[in-house]
Amino acid sequence: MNRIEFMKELEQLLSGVSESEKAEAMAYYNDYFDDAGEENEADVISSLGSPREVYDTILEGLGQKPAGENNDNVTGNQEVGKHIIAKDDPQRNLKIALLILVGIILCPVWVPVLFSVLGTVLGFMFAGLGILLAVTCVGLALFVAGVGLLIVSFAQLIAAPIAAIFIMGISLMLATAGAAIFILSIWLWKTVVPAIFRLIVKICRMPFERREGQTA
Amino acid sequence: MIYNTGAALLDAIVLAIVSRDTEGTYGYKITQEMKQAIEISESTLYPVLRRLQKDGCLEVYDKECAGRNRRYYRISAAGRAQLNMYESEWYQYSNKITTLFRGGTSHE
Repeated sequence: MNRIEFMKELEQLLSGVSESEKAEAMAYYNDYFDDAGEENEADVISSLGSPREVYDTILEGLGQKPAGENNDNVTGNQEVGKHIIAKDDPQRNLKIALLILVGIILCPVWVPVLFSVLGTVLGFMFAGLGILLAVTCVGLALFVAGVGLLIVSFAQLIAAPIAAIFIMGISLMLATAGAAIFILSIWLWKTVVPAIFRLIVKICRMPFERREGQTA
Repeated sequence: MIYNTGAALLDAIVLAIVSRDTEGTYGYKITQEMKQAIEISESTLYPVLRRLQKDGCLEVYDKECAGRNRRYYRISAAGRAQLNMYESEWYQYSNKITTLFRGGTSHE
């Protein structure tokens, strides 16, 4: 590859770069060849490497442009690797700080979500407790109503014996059903409700446990 | 050389070389002079020059030389201030390392 071929290939590679950057780079490397002189042309080409490599360094240099005001930025040279590592730590701290900041900024989003989830869970639990309470009341009411009817039917036994016996039967059925429901619900209160409360306590402690886990 | 040359040191070396000529100097010559101090590839300099130019540390002008225009780089006031900063940082840094090395040998 001679100088002309090298420059042509470089020009083609630079076709994606802005016109001014392309002209600047082409002028620089043209100058470079001129100044090296014809006798050094082969040396320069072998030392520059391929047009592709030259293009890569130009592009990497341009890639630094957005952060170009910082003089510590890297030139796209492998030799500068160590410099990047040295700068890594403050960047990591910055990332953590940014994450915390994002968390604070987004708290109008995640706080309501967290509380609505907690609220939903608690809501279902208290609804369940309410239903259970209603069932207990129904059982108790049926039992009381059954007993009441039984007393009334005893009072009517002489006046209207057939109706009284019929009502007596119904009242016994009601009282039995009520008693069964009541006993079942009491059993539920004894076993299921403590379990639910334990679950609630667990859920409430979860965020704190997780936080402790993180700091440990 | 086993030590890495970071971007800041690369900038400092280029600024120091350019500042030696009040008239300014050109790419090929800068590269040759850099090679006396550090190992660099011939393609390393261009992005550095371009960046220093954009940062306002270098001024660029074309000068006719042997029947053609050659691009010259000259240090600006901002570049000189930057170079002073780099130099004092370097003396501090290298002094600390040197002290460390000397201290290390005297304990043995």
